[in-house]
Amino acid sequence: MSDLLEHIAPTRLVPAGHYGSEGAAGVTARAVEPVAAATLVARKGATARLIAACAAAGLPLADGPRVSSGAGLEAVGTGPGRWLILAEAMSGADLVARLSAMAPSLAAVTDQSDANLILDVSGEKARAAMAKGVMVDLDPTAFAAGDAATTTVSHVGVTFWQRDAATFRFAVGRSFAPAFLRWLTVSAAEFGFALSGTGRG
Amino acid sequence: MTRLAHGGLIDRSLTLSFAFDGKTFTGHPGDTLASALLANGVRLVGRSFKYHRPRGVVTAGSEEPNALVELRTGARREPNTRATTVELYDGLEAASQNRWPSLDHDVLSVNRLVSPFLGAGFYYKTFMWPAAFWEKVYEPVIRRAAGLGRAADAPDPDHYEKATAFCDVLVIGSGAAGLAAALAAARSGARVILADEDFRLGGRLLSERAVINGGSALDFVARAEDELASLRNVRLMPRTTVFGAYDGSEYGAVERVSDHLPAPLPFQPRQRLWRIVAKRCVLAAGAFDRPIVFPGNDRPGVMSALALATYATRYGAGAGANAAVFSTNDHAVAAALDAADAGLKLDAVIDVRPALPEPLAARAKALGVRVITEGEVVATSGKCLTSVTVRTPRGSETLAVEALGVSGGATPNLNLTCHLGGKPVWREDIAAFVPGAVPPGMAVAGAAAGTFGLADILAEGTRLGASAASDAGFAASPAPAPQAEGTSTGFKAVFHVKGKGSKGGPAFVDQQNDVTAKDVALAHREGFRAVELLKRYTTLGMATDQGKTSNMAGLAVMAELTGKGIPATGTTVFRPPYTPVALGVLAGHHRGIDFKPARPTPTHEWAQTQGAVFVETGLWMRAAYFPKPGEKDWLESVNREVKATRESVGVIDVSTFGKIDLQGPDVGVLLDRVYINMFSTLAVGKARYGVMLREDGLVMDDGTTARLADDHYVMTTTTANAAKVYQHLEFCLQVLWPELDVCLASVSEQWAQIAVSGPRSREVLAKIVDGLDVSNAGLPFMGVAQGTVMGGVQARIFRLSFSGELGYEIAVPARHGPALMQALMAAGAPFGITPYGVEALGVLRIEKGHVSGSELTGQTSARDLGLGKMASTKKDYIGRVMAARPAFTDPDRPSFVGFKPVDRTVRLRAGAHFLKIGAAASTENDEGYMTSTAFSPTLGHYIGLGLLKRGPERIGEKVRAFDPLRGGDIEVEVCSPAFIDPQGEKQRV
Repeated sequence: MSDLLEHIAPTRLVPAGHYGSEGAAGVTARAVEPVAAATLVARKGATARLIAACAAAGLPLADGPRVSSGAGLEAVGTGPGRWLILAEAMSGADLVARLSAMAPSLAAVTDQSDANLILDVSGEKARAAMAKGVMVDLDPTAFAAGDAATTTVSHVGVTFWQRDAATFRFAVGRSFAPAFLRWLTVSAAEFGFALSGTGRG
Repeated sequence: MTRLAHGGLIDRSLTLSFAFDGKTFTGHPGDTLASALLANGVRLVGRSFKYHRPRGVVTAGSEEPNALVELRTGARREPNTRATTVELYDGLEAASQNRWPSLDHDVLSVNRLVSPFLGAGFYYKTFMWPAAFWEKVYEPVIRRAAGLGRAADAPDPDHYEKATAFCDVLVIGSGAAGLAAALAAARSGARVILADEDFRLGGRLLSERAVINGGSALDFVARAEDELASLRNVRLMPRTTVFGAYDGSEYGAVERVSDHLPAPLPFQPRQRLWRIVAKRCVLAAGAFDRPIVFPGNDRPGVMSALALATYATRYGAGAGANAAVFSTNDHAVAAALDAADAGLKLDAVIDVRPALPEPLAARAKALGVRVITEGEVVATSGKCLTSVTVRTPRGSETLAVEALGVSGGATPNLNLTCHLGGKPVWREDIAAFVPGAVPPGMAVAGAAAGTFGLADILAEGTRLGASAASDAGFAASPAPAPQAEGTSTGFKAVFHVKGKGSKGGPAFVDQQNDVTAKDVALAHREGFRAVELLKRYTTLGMATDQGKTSNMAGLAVMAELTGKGIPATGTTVFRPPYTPVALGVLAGHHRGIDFKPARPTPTHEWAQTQGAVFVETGLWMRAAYFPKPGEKDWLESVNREVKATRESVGVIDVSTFGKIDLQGPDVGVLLDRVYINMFSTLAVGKARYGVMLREDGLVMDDGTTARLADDHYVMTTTTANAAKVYQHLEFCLQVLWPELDVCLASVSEQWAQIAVSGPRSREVLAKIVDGLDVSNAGLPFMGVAQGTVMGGVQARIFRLSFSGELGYEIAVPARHGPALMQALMAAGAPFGITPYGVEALGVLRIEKGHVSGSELTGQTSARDLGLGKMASTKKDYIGRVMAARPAFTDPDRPSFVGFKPVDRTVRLRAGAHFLKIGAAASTENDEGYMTSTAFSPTLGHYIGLGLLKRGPERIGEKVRAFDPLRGGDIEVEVCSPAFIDPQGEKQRV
């Protein structure tokens, strides 16, 4: 085990702080909370109609591993006819109600607001740190703003997407978040790692 | 000292100090441990594996069979490290291996005296009787005497990591071919990774006096490296060994990030495992200098001719005060003359051919090097080499030399081409195996492909680099290849030189495993002629070097004996890894507590404040029990928790159950097909216990599923099978019944779920709900209520019971889990509400006779578990047909019942097998086994659950519970599995 983690219980989130090399952090991560989240799953044969209905309501949905936004919502394609929808400054119940109203009887909507740790990762060395666990080509020519992936990182299932040129957003299952942060902390340490939003040590 | 006066790619302005076997020496940056030892006149570096013969450095690369050392000390001690690949650093400490008391005077070298008896198969033949002695006596003793270095005996203090890289073109090897390929590919804009196991790019060009593009080889290397480093689409990876080629155009590589340092820099790993995903690959791994098998060829001082030259030219180190070269080919002669140019005292070139090509002969003459044509070395002498005996048609003579460079030609390094099953093919014109079928996307350039002239190598590298890039979708312009002067590649194939009788000492084929030409002959005599048999019988090529230098020689000696020729004799194929890979780097970050994720429940931190003792259940960390001050052991705590739950109220976090949200008009149909019982008829607001089978009719999982609305259900699975059941449902929907309109979502992480159980649980619950009717009428057994708790927190309340008591499971969004637990504790305080852990949970369910993981083993049917009556006869479901197989309906099949010890003071043990009283303890008499046991504080004695032949028919009968593992042999009484409340009245009040 890396000395960095020696005194951090494996069951708790790595506390906010600066880890690894001193000086400017090459990698920055911020836990974003609270964010309302829900899965939106198209009913049998209804994917095209769902996409059309959401587009009409101001939320364009990409039919693939892409992220799109509109109507104050962010939609990440996680599988055929499946999206993870995020909204800031809204309750989970409100998000479920809004989505259900957008596409009545075209989709199943399930509140997931408490299911994930949402983590924004950025920094000059973010890609280099992520390459230590993310088995997806992150070169800007292969993965750019708007791209999303649902994959496994360090034995943890995650969905992540690139929000803009600088920021990757990860959704990590709540009970897996401590293990994910342990991996990210040791992986980013050589570049200097600034972590915030995970509470005090 | 044999450091040459000048030259070499070492920084003579800096001096590094290092120790070998406790003695201090100096070297320079740019040295390897091997070059620094040679420069200090240290020629004896190790003892051989079997005969403990003195051995020295043989090569200058990763193919080294002999110079294995223990590097570093203490927890960082690394055994069997090749001195030829270790970069020298200040303070380096290394020790020789496999010798006692010292390298110079090794007691076990007496093995050499009996070596005539220690030939191939000796151990197998000699230590055969008595058979039982092999494992207990012979093998441990043999292993102690043999073996190489010692592993560190403390945990590795360093960190390792894994990473993935993607590229269009991976170039493996940075010699002439690799650099040319990388330049051609990189100039097209393709993403290129250039990996080399050496710490410096250049390969053989670092050691040779070639002229490229009108300048020196070193200039060419420097320019190429500068250009590649300046390109953003190129990643240079020195110190990186590509060790394996895998399916899907993936390559495994180890980057030695910190091995050249005394200890890793802060936050740096020691090594990094790379998974390189490459659209195309150019293998430019070069060739090995082929040894010649001749008497006395393992004496320290005898080495590869190209290595001898490399030490002189690249490292400024003489392998001896003076040297000779024994060669069959122009390349080795040219390299030897380069070494002489660099200042090595080269006394003679002994070549097997009648004459050298004129330019080489002239160069030798100019350098004052004597050329002995038609010469063969037939003997050597000295503990470290002092002289060699040369035989020519003109007679024999002895030359006094300290070093002998030997070259039998080039063996293309085609290791990686074999990893996906490719078999090398023989090329008679170069008397060597070259790559046959290569992994998809790979091309082989340069010496690895059997292309030996420098100009040809550069042209081939350029061509294959460009075509790799264009295959990957880039427009590679046909740039001219770097130009080189022609180099001569003449040679004569000689693998084996025989001495006269046994004069001159044994002739080694595999130096690391101490296999001699005589052993190969023995294998031939005894019929182990096929190459794979030869390998296993003699251990030829099975050492840590995997026969990189020895396999060809072994084949050649066997071919000579069978008279069949080398291609007919065959070749062994190579498998990954190309060179040894440390287990630590394969584990990466995942060791100790980070081996797998540790999943906390939503109330984990609360449980910590309550003093919980945790247990790993799969990936989850769950509270096992909550000891209180004064309790002397876990059992006392568990008994208290069980009693409190039965008598008043207890509380436990059950968030670990899998939870699956199912929506759509066809959910009922789906559930009817995956469960053995009906769910489409379940009323809204109700839950039902269900059992699902695998296709083969055995139980897969159980749990309760509730109907929240007409087209909305929520399923719970066992903790262990959460992912498996979700996957199963996805399979059903995607493959079996794609017509069903059902949407799935895992909500395991979304909801915290806490079970409140015990006669006072309703009173506790009533205090936290926001006006919900939780009376027996308002929320009856198996009822489900949706509403809010704690003043506005969304909740689902399921009236379920695993314990057999009145009970509820309350689900709230996960962030509210800790608050819910605290609210329940506060509400239950007047009743002495008691948190309980998975130990008490187990006791409660065993008392109630509920099945759990110990019964759901994947080998039990619903009928075995007493759940057969649940199975609907009105519908089809997965596993129905196979569950009706005769073996599963055989009334003799062990079935689920309870057990009490006849002597109530006796402890029961899970795993005990049942026998009829008086029956012998034999497999034929086995009647089943105990699956779960617990001490029941409710009954005051141990109870058990188990599977007994015709169990339900035998209630009241006594059987023997036989547990030879723990010395248990007791009588038990068969009873109903429901030890408490068999009518289920308590949970319905």
